Amino acid sequence: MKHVRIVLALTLVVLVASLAVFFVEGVTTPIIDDYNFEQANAAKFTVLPTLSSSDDITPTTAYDFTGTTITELIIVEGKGYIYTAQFQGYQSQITYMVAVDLEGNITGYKTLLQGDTPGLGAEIANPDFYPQFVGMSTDTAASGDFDGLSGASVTTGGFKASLAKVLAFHKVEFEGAVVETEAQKLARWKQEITVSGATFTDVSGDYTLPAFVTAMEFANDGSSDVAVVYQVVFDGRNDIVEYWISFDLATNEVLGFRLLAQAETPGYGAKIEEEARWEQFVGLSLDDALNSNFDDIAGATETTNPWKASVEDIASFHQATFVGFEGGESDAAKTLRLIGEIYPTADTFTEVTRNYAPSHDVRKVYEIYNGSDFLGIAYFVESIGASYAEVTLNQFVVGIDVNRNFAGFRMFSLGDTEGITDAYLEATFGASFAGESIDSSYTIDSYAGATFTGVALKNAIDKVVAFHNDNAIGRPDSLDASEANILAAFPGAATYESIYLDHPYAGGIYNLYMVYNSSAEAIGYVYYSRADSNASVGVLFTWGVNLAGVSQQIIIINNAETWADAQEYGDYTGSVGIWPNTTWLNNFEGVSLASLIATPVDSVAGVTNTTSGMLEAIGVIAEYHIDNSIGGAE
Amino acid sequence: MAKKQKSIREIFTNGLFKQNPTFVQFLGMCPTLAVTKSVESALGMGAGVIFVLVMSNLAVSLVRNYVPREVRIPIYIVIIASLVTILEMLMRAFAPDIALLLGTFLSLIAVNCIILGRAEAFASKNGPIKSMADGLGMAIGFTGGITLIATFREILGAGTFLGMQIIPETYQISILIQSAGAFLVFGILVSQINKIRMNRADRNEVA
Repeated sequence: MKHVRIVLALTLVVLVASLAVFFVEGVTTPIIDDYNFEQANAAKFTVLPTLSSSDDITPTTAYDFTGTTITELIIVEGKGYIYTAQFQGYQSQITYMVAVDLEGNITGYKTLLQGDTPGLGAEIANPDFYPQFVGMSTDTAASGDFDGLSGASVTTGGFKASLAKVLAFHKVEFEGAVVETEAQKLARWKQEITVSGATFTDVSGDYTLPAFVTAMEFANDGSSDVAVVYQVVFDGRNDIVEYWISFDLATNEVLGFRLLAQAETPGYGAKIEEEARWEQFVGLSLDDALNSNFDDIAGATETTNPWKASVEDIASFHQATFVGFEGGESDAAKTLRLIGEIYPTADTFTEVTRNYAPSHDVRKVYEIYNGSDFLGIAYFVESIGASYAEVTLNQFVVGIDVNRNFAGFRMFSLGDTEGITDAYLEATFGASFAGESIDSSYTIDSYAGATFTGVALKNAIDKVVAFHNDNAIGRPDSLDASEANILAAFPGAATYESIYLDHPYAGGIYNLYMVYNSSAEAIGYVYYSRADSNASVGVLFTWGVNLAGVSQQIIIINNAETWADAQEYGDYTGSVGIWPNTTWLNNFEGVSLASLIATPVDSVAGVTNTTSGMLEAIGVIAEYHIDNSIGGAE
Repeated sequence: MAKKQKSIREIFTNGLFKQNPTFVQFLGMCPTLAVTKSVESALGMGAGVIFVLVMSNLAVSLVRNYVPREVRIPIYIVIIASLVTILEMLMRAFAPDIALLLGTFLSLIAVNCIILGRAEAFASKNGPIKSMADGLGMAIGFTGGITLIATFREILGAGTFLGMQIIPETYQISILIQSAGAFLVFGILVSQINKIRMNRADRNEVA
């Protein structure tokens, strides 16, 4: 009987306890499950707040994500779409999650993984970055019209591009957006840069088109031709670039710009493809177009320059065709025309920019050639005029030929008092000193009533001559190194001759000699050059290079450096000799120029003015030697 | 000699001070040392113990006359374990953050000596009201004890109180956050409490 009571009591207690536990479990299990689900999928709940634990969040496999940067898509029935995507930031692959609701608005954004620079790219994971996306339409977000990360343009650019691709995918797949064909896009563009609903007539055959214009069309608004669209090509850095530019036929303003084809360097010249860049053309005046007054592509001068020249050309063509040529000519074209008047036999004007000491007056330097013959230099100069009333600016072009004589002078624009100083605008003014040597005490004409302007111009011309001499731009034969220094730079050399005129001029390189051994066989080259250095006179040196592009001796011709500083302040250990006998210079002897470019020599602490200047000058020579295939160097 | 019946009030305060489980009986030392890193977890643990101890004392008291002596301990254990299971499920559902903080110590309330100790020592011999008063007193005493330890450890060790920063990092005594710190604080507190108790006992003798 006692045993029965024990068993009964135990059974009862266990039963009651089990029932109680069972009941509580029934109440709490769904709540606990919800909590666990939310924890495990916290990011998804963040980006799509309407998500609940009963939703199926299995990633879909029904779509092809190629080219979209999407790594995962969860379609939440009746609620929205959760995308996970990945792109290359500045330093790391960045993974983020973004959700779009059924109305096409973004419900949330979160960065899941990143390893970018703290304070810059890593700010993409700053929660302050997220809220701006909530409620944003996919169109706005796809256009990149939101705050980026300051100081992290590469990461921001990558993110915007990736997000645009994700949202483009979304629009096509889920919002029924029709993918535009290339032809449809072009048709739309043509309307956008003229008038909506315009019809187009190809008039390429009706005009004599220059080579850079590949097509020309009129846009008709139904009653008359209102605009013209030019299809233009130019040589970019890598390949040809092709674009449309349209002009209003009534106001001659630019109506729009669209890029058709380019193969420029991504991140640099390829930025010409950015639509934001095209916007600046809307309403650009013909005058601004003629002078290419629009933004450069930062860091891409080799794309920007031909692009600007191309816009100037087409504007000039438009003006000539529809406005009449009077009064219209771009500044650059006018400069070149004046240079052409100074050097009538010239066929090539090359603007050079390297290595010039700064000058307030000399704005542009051109090398003038006829075929391969170097004729001289033309300078575009801005100088202060002599007006009493106000500060004026006079601009002119002056040529100095290869024989150090004035080749000619043309006034570009005269800011001084109109009517009184007009005589300076005439070609006869320039003729008053053309042909005189810049080394002589030349005089220029001066006109009664405007003598101060004459004095101001004379001062400006004197400054140009000084600039010419300082920079040895004239490439005169007189800039010769002594025979001893030339031969010392190339052991075994017996004779030499200057061959510099056979090759393009480079700033900083004074002369280039071919050297021969005693049997009169060519054995190599010697450069005579100047490096900017600690002393204002710089370092003059000669440097031999053999036919295989391997350097010989480097001979320092002058010595005004304070190299002892390297031992006093720096970590220079070449204590066996101070400049110019330092072992540091051995770095430039017996090595190939290509390897000097590939692995530059370090400068020396304490004497960086000297060593950096030398390294730059050496670099100029090495690149020049290779670029111009001197002696067939690779 | 008939023992004088204790009042409900006496039973309640008994657990609070005279027989404080933490500082006097030294019961339930595991959680005392483990969950006293922060005041929040100490309070969470205390709340759990209050629930389990009051309910188990009540349940044990209710069945005390029907339980055969031979199996009373297994039955008490079944009751306590069920209550702890229920507590754990409730906390995970309604206070998931604290449940996460307490971790396995939540389930270990089942083997906390105070619970079974009070069931056996008090609830099995007294009526439900008194048993609940005893459970409440003991549990609050336990909660007060571990909260006191946690207060010292959190403020001096981590420089925070209930998560709010009050002491800069430079002046924190980080050993107090380690396990050894728990023993240190515990020891010092016991010594001080004993000192007070001894003095009071002396005075009582004189009086």
